[in-house]
Amino acid sequence: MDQIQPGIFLKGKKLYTKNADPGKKAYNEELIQLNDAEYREWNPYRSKIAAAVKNDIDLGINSDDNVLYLGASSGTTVSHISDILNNGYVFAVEYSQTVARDLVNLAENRDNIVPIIGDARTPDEYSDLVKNVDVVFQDISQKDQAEIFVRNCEKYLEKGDIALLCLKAHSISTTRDENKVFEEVKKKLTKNFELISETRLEPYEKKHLFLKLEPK
Amino acid sequence: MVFLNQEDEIRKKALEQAKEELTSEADQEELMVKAVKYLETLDQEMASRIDKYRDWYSLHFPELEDEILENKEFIKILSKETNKKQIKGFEELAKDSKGKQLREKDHEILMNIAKDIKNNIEASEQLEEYIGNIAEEEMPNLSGILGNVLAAKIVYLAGGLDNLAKKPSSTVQMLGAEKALFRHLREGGKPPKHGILFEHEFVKELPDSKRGKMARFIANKTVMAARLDNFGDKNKVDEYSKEISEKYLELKEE
Repeated sequence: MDQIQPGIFLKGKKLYTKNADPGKKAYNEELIQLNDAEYREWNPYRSKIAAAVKNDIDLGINSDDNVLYLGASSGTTVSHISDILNNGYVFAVEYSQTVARDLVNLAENRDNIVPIIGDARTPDEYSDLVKNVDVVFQDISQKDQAEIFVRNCEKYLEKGDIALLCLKAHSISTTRDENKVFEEVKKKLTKNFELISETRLEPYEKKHLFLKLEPK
Repeated sequence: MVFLNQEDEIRKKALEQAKEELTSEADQEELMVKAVKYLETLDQEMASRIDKYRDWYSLHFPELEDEILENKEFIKILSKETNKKQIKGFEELAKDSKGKQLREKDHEILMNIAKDIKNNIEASEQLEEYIGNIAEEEMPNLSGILGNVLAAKIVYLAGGLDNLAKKPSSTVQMLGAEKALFRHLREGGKPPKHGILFEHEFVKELPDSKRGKMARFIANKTVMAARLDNFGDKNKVDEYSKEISEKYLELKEE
């Protein structure tokens, strides 16, 4: 088992994080025991951050960072971020109450998840619940995903922090060529960000681009 | 370490807030939209079940199937008796029937199914009443001009009253006709004149060539009513209804 990034382990071809809530599964992932510790498999087909790690993105998330996670959904990926941050918090924002139910259940068992039911379009809405953010990650399938991302990063990040964005071309346009869509969004983002690295998420996700950025 | 404590406090607060939000009383509009979705499925399913049932039953008594075109009436009769010799009120029709004879067990199953469909029809009616009551309460202007159930359906198609209030009326005119609209945009063909608004009595009753005009007019008023219901508190049902019926009479006499 090799630690390839803080809190992220590789064994064979599979990714793992160290289970912060031993004995329990967050969804139906596989658990393995190794050297008195329990690890949870992190499936790149289910989690876009895992897909980015598989495609050689160095996330730059440290174990004592605070992460603002936009588009937390039912908390599949959030649970792994919670594993990675053994000295930090993840502020998980989700709009849909239906999926937020699972997220809240997860947050009850893990003491570094701050569940927020709110609309990421209006970052002011949850400003009293979000503190000292070092990393913003966003995975929201909406047409204005780039604008939502910029608004949140402007509010919660400073220079030197990290902004991670998962872009879904299909949510922006279903007919236009995805490369053109990506170029356009990247151009928009250069006003506010420095591009550090990027990768497509194939073969795990189709027409997705993962960007690692630094606010200017 | 003071740092961590602050975040711990926040987490507790967030958890509490989230739980409170999840367990708060359900939004009436949300309930209505779910009920409309269910009603739609129920009605579609029922239509195709009745269709098959009619085909099945007509083996025995095709004359009745021809005579009673109204589904509800047809099912009501057969839920009491399926044997053509014993159905009351159709003795004359049964005498000359060219349908086949059935055994006892065949009748039994046909009658049970008719009863089951009848129950479903009642459930559908109950559902309509439930939906209509919420629509009347939550969106008085909209349900005033469209009728309760149609108002609820159009809110569902628009994705909520809030969204309906923000849509242009040309979009509202097409709600429910997406398939035809995109076929028109993609392949040419005629553009649709109305979507769900076809269910409005004034659209339905006009000749084909005038339905588009009527639907456009109602769509205008629909959006205005939705905006009143969502953002304002005035009641302009009488004013809008009057304009709509004037337009209807004008088109009818043209």
